Amino acid sequence: MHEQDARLVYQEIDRRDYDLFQAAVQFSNNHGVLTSNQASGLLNVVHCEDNLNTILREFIQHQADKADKKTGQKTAFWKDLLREVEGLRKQADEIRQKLCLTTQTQKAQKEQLTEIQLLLVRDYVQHLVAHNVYRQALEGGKNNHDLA
Amino acid sequence: MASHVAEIALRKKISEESDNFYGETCDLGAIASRAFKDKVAQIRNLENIANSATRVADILDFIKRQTGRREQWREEQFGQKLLERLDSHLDEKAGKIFEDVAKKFTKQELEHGLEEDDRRRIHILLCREFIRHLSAHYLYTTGLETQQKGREDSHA
Repeated sequence: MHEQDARLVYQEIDRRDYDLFQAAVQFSNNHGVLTSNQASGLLNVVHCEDNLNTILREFIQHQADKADKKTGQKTAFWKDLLREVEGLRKQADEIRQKLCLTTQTQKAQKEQLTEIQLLLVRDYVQHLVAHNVYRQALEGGKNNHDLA
Repeated sequence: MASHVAEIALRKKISEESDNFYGETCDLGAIASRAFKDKVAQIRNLENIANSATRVADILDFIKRQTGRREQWREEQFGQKLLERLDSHLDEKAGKIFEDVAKKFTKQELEHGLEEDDRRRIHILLCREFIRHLSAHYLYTTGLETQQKGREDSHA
């Protein structure tokens, strides 16, 4: 993405950030509390990985599969998170259209969309993990479901 | 971004609201003083985050992380109370200021009218004002206690 376009995208994401924050808080409140390792693992992957598929498929989906095998129950958290993260693509597209970002090819357009989605995912997960840290301390053992 | 006319009107409203924060932050400042004692860095960090953040959620995330990780932030529910003030309470105030200014001026007077982004800016500015007052109360209370302790120690 060009520097000029990137600046516009960041500004637009900032405008939407409070809504993203509230969505992440609500998501967290609707699910159990992650362990510290799970939360920091998620945050690390999201911040260090530039490949969205790695985040989606290799981490989140892997966590969901692992959870299914361990508990024998469907663990709603990881599957729902996957859905939320995939859902951010729609917001990414809204941003791209609002800012009238143009690309030469369809492939470039797809890459641009993925880049914007990744920025949204990073912010979403930042808010989610912060709220998780908060809940962990306040709720302690009360609501500390083991999501592994 | 709001026009010059709207910006002045918004800043005036924010200043008026800031005056109300003085009383509201007294209690929280006293709690902070008991919780953090002379560990000034905690409140300084909060101020720095508030002054540099361009998004309210970044300030709120900071408070959540601190409240989750440090026991002092949970003393007398300091972190929880601060969150509640900055999040829902100031968001509501920001909405009211936004509406008041939008109603007061015609679109022509505002040149471009207010944008949704102005509401977000108001919220951040209110958070900064609130934290500024909180910090002042904390430093004042902590300073007085330190002075009192110094006198007691010298008499002992």
